[in-house]
Amino acid sequence: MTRDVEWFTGRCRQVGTGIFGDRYGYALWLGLLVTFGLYWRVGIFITDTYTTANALVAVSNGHLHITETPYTLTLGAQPGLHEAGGRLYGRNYGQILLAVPLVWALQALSVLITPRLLLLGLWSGTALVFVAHVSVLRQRHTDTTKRTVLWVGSGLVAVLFLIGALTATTLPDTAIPIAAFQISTMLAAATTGVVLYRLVGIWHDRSVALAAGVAIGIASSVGFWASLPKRHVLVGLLLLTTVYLFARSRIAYADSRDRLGLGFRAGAYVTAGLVTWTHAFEGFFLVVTLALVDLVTARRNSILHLAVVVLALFLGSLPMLVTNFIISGNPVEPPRLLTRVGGANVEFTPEIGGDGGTGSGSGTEGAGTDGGTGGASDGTDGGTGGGSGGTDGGTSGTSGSDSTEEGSDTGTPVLTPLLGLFERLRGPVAPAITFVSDTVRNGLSVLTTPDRMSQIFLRSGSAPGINYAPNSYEAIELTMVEAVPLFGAVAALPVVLVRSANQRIRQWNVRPSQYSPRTQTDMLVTALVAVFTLVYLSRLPLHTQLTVRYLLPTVPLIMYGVVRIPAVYEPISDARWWLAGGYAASTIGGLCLGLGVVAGLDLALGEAVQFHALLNLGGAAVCGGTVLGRTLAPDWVPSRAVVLGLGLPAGLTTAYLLLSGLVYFQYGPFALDFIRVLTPHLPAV
Amino acid sequence: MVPRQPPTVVALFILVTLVVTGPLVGVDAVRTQPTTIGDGTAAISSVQLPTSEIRITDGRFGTKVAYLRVPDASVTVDSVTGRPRLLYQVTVPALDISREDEQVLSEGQSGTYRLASGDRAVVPSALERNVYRGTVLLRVQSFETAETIVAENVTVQVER
Repeated sequence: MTRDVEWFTGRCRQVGTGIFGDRYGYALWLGLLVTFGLYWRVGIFITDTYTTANALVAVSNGHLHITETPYTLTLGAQPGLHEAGGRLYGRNYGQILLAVPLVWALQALSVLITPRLLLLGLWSGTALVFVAHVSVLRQRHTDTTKRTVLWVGSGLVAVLFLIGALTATTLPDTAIPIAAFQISTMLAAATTGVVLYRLVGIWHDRSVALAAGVAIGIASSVGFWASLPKRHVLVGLLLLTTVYLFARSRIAYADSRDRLGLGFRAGAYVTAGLVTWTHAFEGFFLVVTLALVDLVTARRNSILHLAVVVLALFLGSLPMLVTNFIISGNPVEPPRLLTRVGGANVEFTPEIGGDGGTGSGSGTEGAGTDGGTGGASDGTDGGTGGGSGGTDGGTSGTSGSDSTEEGSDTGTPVLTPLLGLFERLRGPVAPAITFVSDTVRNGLSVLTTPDRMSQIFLRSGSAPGINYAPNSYEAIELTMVEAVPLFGAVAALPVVLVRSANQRIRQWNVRPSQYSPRTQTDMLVTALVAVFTLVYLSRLPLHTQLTVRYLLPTVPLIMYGVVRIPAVYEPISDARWWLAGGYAASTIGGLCLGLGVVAGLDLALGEAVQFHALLNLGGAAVCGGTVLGRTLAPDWVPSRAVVLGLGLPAGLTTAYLLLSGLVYFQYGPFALDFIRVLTPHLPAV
Repeated sequence: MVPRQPPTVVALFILVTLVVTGPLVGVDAVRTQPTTIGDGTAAISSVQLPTSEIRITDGRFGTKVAYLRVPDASVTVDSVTGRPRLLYQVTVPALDISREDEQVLSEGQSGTYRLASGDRAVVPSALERNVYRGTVLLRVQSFETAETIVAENVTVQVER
């Protein structure tokens, strides 16, 4: 019996180490989750989520098509609803299926515990485990047996739990699926931090890796989207995981451990393939980029290795192919290519729950931002349809009739002759190819328009290219640097690149497959950032992006790039406590400044967001200045100056994340009631 | 056996609280407050509503829009029965603007409440006059009563 328990805890530890690396990684993950919970509002922020949330309810009830709409829009359509064979479908099924076990778990637990206290209990439990691990880490560093952290931390959690429990408000049962959906995104965001921690930890010391993990979690736009169940955070996580597995495979190949290398390489392809389940086109671009860099840099490309890679890619894409097959009868036709259901049609869909808005608890709040997003997804899907217009309708027409012929149930078309299958495969492929080439071409043309590039990356203000009407004319769309001012450090990148290119030219006879694993990984990251930026450029700038969310998957990769600059990672190792202190001071300063200005100048929403935008740009300038200075003249810029230059924008971003959640964007009730009772005492926009 | 680890103690306490107050055991120690309107009424003792501050001014920090500035209302509630709500509404019909904020009250929750409907952005080109007419409403509503506390016509100056 005891041996079994020991074996089990040993296995658990092994799995834990496999995922989190070490206790630091685990504490990082827990800490991020605890932080995300603080500004978690249960509800729907962006109208696109109505469709996916309804689809989640459908899947958790055991079918892919939407029959009831517990989350509904009272007016207009649910963006991104698609139709096949007379049934309505959502999209992003990969993301949805990730959340389904969570829905079941929450529903099962809600038999024992009321939903509101369940959320509070989950947060408190996570916080307690976090406290316990931080206490162990602290003991390790200070060599004391005092357990102050443990006592103070546990006491604090107990007090917060009590406040939350005593002031608890009712959360309707209908909120459980959306809450689970949000938790799944928070898990993805926290895991992004851990994967970045581990990826950076391969090349640099732990303080640098931890700083990168914290930065991506709560000092970048990933934190903004952490509790908003859009696909972007998940795709970003899968992208980063692909890079991590790629890096491990290059290391293993370099050590001549071919079998291990092949394993990680296959893992990278499985992960890349999984992206197609959530967004087929993003998956396509990922797989193509990965394959190019992988084939060029791999030390072994024998037939056996390539066969394993193809198999891995197939395995990764299999869930997507099966889902498509079940929905449209055509494995390569993702829901996004099916006929869109728009306009008033949605209101005629079979539905049971007619009480709009109640799902999120308080649907009346923040209608301004809420209603804003309808057009955004129209933009996305319009883009898809744009290249394919007529063909699109035709294809779905055929597939629609096919699935009706084949009966209402899903498994039967296996008997379809192979020839017929190939015929149908060709249908969506042609428009898809047009779409891909158009996307790349249009993206390239945006690169040559400085104004537009500036509106995407530098300064938003009131950008002429954005239709602000859906957001009630609030200028809430930040650019990339305004949203993640740490990217000011990218200013030093050209210098670094020129230097490394110089070095490379001197060793011109070394083939890419002989480059160091680190350089090979840097190449993949560069290629992925370039591709995932390029394909979305033609759609940007756009409203309801908030932090250029289409480019969110590149944010962890760019953060990796920032950390890989010598003028960033060297000072962090030298002056880690200065970084921590600077970051904490900057966060508190940013919070006080933001609250003070909102109250003192009586700011409106758009003004508050733009105030932060300007503040963050200032932080980005300081960051860029110190990092560039250190790169050009290392002797003149001490490490402490650089880490303060990094801590400043990081803290300002964290302050913006917290304030955006607690003050600026109110679309639903706070998950934690001890936060709800706090917010009336904060100034309001 | 007494667990020595503080987190374990707290965790046990939390777990017991959650289960005891849950649907199966149902001890009424923790009562979740409803958030939707019901029957009942509330007695209002004082209202702070600076209606003269309602005006239209330019947005700052590069927003390039004008804003209808709506001040927060501060309402002191003496006694509450049932679950009525406070409703604060500012409208400017000529601009097709209506801003509102509500606060659902619970039995026994007296005190001062802030109602902040927030400013509303207006495209500058939509402003054709220097003065607009607006209305301000503050009401206590429930399924059984609807009492108007403040109902005022205001002139909204455009200060640009």
